[in-house]
Amino acid sequence: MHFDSLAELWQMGVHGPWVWSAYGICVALIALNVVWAVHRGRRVRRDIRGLIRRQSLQEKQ
Amino acid sequence: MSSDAVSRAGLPAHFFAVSLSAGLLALMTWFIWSAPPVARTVWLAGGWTFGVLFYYGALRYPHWYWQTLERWYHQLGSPPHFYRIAGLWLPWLVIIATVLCVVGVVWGLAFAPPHHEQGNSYRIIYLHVPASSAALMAYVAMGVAGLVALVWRLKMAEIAIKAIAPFGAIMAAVSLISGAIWGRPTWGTYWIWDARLTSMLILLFMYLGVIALQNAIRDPRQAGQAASLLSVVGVINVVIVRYSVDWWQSLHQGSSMSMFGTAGSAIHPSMLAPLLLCMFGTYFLFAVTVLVRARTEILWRERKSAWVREEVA
Amino acid sequence: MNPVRKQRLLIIVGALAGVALATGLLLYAISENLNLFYTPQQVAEGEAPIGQRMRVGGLVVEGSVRRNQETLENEFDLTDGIGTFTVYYTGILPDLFREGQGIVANGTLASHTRFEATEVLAKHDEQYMPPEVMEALQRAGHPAASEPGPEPEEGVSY
Repeated sequence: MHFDSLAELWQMGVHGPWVWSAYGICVALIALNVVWAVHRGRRVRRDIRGLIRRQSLQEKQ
Repeated sequence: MSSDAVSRAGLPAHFFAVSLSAGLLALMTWFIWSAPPVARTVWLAGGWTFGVLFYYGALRYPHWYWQTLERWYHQLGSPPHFYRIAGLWLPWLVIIATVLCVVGVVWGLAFAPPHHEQGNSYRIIYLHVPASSAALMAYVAMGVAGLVALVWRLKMAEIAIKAIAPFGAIMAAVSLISGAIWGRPTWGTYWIWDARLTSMLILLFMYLGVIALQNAIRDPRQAGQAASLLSVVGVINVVIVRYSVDWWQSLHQGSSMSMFGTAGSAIHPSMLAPLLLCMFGTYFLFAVTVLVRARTEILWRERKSAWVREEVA
Repeated sequence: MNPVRKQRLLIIVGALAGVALATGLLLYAISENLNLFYTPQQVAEGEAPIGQRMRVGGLVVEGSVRRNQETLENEFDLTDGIGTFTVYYTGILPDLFREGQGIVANGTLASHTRFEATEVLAKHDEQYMPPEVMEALQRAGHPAASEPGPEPEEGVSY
């Protein structure tokens, strides 16, 4: 490792706040993108199952 | 687009394989013209080996080539096939993307040497460069899909645009945010209206425009056509982003990377290696999110068909 | 390709070419305004307006920086190899401000040789090297170690 300790890695000389805030915000955004896509997939599947259920109920009546 | 049509026109099947490989070779030769000597040799050798093998195969087994091409065309163009194939690929793509991104970022943050002038703040490039490159590449992919959607009215191309746009928007935002946070300690300002930064902001707005168009128009086919048009026209802005630092004086620096080998690159190999890992990781992340979104969109559009009902049950 | 598709393709390619041409002409017309700053050559040739707020950019001449630690008054010469003028600035200079380094300054041109800056930004070049490598390059007199960096080859830019 380039840094001698985890504390130094956290401080990054004087640039710790810049580097870590950039990574924090952007990694959160990228993770949000993935979570959002997966979540929408689940919701669409649920909606379609609902459609099927309603349709089969109508057919029974 | 079928072998029947070709034989009716009186052209042998391998004629197309030959022109295709010749075109590829010409393109590669043109690309590597400015590459450094070592990289040039490697690329030339690789390109010609590939081309000769491709041509030999096409000449020897023309039917196999045609069948493969047609199969790809139909599978890619057919929603149920695409859904199934994407489902098979996804777990592998997720693994590759995760490994590449994690290794690249940890290497870049903790193990790569500091920059000779910027110190450690330069480590933001491991976020900034892959995101910017992915945002540009995703728009070009969207433009190609848009062209296919407009000319061939292929449903899958419209779905592809809808799947790419959110990823591109997020990546453009990541590029702008990480660039701003890097700019404050390095340049002395978060934001400046120079050509590169402004055109990148326009790229973000183009993505948001494509997303907004799709949501504003009720009919999915019409929405798809409108979004396709904006995708195709917007490719011009990608060219402007790419060359903005060459055409105008800007605060943003010029290109650091050369596509072919490190000899022409202004980045030291010890810094370039993790950067390349991050970049490839981001491209795989692109594949993952686009496939997930495309599968969702396919399910929703085909919700009345029997195969979807079996799939979700 | 069937005629309908061919026609669609032609229309789209035509429209794209039209938009590209229009964009190109537009960018060409406002090209001057898209440049973030005036170069010392433009200042020397009188292209930069005197008395108006604008930006200038160039390389800080080696040995020309004079700092007053108490009043924070700085002056240094800016050059692009053709024109040269002096920049006056009161305030703290950015970390990356060095002799030989590219900078962009915001302010007004008092005369063709005097620029009064209200803001100084450091322009970074495309060199990414570890400190030891840069020192080694400088010792060896490698061109990559001197400012400005070599023109990048054709490739991807970010």
